[in-house]
Amino acid sequence: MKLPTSIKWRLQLWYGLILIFVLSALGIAAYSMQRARTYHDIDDALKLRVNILTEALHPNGQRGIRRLGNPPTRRQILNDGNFLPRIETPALQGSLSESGFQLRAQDENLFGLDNPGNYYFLIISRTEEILAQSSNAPKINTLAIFDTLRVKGPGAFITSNTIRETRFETRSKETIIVGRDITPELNRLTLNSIELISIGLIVLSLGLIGGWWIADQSLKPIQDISRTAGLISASDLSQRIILSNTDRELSYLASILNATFARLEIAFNQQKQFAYDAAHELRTPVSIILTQTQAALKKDRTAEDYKETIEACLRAAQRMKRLIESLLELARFDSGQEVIRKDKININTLINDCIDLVTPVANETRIIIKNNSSDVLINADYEKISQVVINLLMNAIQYNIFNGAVDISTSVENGLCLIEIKDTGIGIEEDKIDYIFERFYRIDPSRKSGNSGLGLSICRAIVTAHAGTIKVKKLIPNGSHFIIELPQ
Amino acid sequence: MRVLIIEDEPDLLKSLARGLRDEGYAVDSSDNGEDGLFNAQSNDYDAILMDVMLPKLDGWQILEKLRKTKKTPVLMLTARDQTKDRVRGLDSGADDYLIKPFNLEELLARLRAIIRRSANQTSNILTIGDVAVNLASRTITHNKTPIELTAREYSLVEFLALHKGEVVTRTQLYEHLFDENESSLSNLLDVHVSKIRKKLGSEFIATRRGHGYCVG
Repeated sequence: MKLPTSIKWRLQLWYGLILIFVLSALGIAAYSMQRARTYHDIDDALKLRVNILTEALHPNGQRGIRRLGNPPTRRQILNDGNFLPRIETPALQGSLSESGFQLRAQDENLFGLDNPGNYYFLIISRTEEILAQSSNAPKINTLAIFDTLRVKGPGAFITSNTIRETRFETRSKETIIVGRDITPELNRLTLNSIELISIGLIVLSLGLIGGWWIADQSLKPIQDISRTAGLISASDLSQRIILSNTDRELSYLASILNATFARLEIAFNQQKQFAYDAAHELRTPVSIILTQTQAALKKDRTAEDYKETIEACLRAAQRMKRLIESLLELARFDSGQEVIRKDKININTLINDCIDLVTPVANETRIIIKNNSSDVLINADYEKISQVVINLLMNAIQYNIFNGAVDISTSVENGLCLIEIKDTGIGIEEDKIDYIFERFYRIDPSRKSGNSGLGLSICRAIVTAHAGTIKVKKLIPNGSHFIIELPQ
Repeated sequence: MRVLIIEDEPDLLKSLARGLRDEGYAVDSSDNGEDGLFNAQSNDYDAILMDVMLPKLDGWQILEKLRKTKKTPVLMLTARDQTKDRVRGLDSGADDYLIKPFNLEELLARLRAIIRRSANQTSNILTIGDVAVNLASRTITHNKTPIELTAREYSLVEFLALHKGEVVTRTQLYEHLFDENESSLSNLLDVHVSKIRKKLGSEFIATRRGHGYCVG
């Protein structure tokens, strides 16, 4: 069977099943106890009567008489109400007295048609003759009695249809049979069981209604949360699920959802900002090309003028080309398409090559590059790591002072290769350090020419692709300190 | 008309200056906010063309400081195209707002519009007697006959026409017709005025001795 997919229905189903099980167990136990007590009472009354009959049969004393079990005292039975002594009608037929069997007067009303329990008795001799019987005793096939007697043993209680009987064999081998019709008790038991079932059904339905209400109440916050979450994901990622009045378990769920929304919002905003910034970066070079060409075309110009215009357009176009290349490179890193070709490379050789490339630029502002690197072999992409080192060196030169210095060094620490680049430049304010690897982030937002604002983002993407880290510190009093950690 | 351009992107600054000079404007330029604000405060420009993102002082800071002393019309150029940026620009005292990339023609038209508005003119055609000055096509007609004028002569007429009925001093004319790099030879103005009188009639420009010139 397929379980319903709704938690509410499933809760209700389990709840109902458990309730049915518990109620059934209780009902069955209650009924069994009731039934056991009823039979116990009946049997006690039967035992008492057997003992009375035994005493009547052997009035001379205790010799040869076994008492059956430990029957309740006579007083207890009489107080029971069922066995109120009744005197008016003699219960015994004449035959009984004739055979010399005589019940005490006060015991006579314990048997016969008119006694409240409709008790009867039979006393059968060793030779299977009926010695005595009450007027209401059923006609019996004596042989059958002895058959059952053999099966059940002496002193057993037997129920057949609505008749409960006990048989007892005295020492002198007479058999005493005492029984009665227990229909009223059986009817009462049936009534009891109907009552129990009805009560059970009422309790079950109340329980199910209560369970439904509880399930509803406990699931309501979930529905609230999912509704809010639905609204948030559909419209406004900046909204959050309100945590104040939710339960602990649910507030955990809600806070997880909120955290997810927060991450989504950041990613979404980054994406939006990225597209916006990319478009923004293209605006200035496009403006240059537009105004340059439109101004130049207004009238005839000299060759020198045209050359100037074309050169300005070329610079703008190259700027756009650099920007597009950087954007594509970042997009490849983002989508994991950028290929990193790792080889055993010597970081010292790499740094020397990079320094050779940037030295002419450094010379323009008389910046001295101090190389303190040593031979370290690492497994990395030569081209990509060169790109990072060149980018950082160029930054160190560009943002430096005239006659400044750039210091590059390597070291090995805990299996990591550290490349450190320090400069004597303007440095980065503490509050901006967290942002400088962000795309298009510029410390001076008005700096339009030259860098795309993506250089450090690309550096970070490359280092991250090598499972390394890149960070920056501010040097006191001036300068920046970039640290690249690469696994060997 | 004398215009100040504050723009830190050299190629853009150069092309804007050239485009404006071709139109007969006298153009001064600044490549950072501080310099720009100084120029804007120390001269009476007919208009200022200004980028928002500038080194040292940004466009908004310049506007805030400038508006304390000057009402010079300002056209902001910006790469920021979001509504809130435009609203902020206009609210902080800019007269118009142009988003990069823009067409030179549109920029020139908007520039003319803010200059005209600042002279309390609503129409592009100003008439002084039988002379009509078309601000949009930068042409002048006398008795419906087109008159050939040099760019500088046109600018002189345009400036006087925009201040119709007012006495315009020689200093004002020098300030508005020549940029900071031109040597303001004192008789250059007289040469232009006499040439215009030859073309439009001697009574077109009246001389108020010791004060300046007046039309209308």
